[in-house]
Amino acid sequence: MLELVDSMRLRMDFSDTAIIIPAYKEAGMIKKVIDGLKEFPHVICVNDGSPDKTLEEIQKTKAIGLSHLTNIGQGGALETGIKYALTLSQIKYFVTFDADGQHNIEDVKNMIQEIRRGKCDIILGSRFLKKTSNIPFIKKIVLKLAIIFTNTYTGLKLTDTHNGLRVFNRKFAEKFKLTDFGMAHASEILDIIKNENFRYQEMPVTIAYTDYSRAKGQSVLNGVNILFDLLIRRK
Amino acid sequence: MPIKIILIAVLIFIFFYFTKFSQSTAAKAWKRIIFLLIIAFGITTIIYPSLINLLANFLGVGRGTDLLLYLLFVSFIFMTLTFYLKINILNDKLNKTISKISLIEGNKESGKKKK
Repeated sequence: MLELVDSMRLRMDFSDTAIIIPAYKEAGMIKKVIDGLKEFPHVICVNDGSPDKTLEEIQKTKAIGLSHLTNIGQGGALETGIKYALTLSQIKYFVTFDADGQHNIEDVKNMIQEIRRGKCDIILGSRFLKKTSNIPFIKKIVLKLAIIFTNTYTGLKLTDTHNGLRVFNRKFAEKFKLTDFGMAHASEILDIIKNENFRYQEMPVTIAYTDYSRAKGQSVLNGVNILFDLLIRRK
Repeated sequence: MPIKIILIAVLIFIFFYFTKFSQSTAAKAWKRIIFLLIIAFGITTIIYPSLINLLANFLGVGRGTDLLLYLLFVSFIFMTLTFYLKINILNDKLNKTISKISLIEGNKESGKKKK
């Protein structure tokens, strides 16, 4: 009985985990999102040069707030956050988490549970392993195209190549280096997996497509940008 | 017509140049050499305008003006790509600097808090 309670407590102990949240123009949601991460003592939120009060909102929370002078891109915010987290010696696991409330903290807990088994270096969230997300139709098509293209190019076989929810260990974090801080960073991360031969795995996650995220989230046109970025960068 | 071969070769060269060599010291040197050659060519053509017509006919182009136009076209592509690359490189340097600054500030903050 005591072992069961102990192991349950251990499972809920996330003092070895850092959640990195890149934030751009999320003054409306960011405090709510960070406050929702109750069981996680280490939250590093990087304000990517937001013109609104995002940084002030971050500073009201328990999170460590880092701030870029100007907007350099989500990839850049992730790299800054991860580099900072690496200086904290107690951190073994790193989570990339979106600032707009689309990600689910339960998914994060499941992914950490899994990565603690030591069988892989990085776990990628996937919207397409389970039919739970309500993805807007056009976005789904653009996404599927990007997935096919990215899989062909990287040689990895993923069901979701552009998911912001990832969990990885220190070994991977130390190799996290991007040349492109823009929207192509997602496929650059996959490149790192491929080139350094990291063990990877996908797990189903639920993305909440609320009115808020729909309104400010990536439109179809931005999907075109992503595809274009993928093509141009490949040269 | 020899001009066709030359133009195609130049375009292919531009493609490989920008994907591989553009940042080398050799590239820098050659750019300066070509710059000097262009100045020399320009001055010569101004003094002897009929020369460009001779050159054009030799290469299979109708008029000297047409040849100048082709040269202008190629130069334009070259210049545009050069600037595009340069801007990207500068952008990367800037981004890396911004990231580093935020890390330094972050470390200062946490250093203060610990005290």
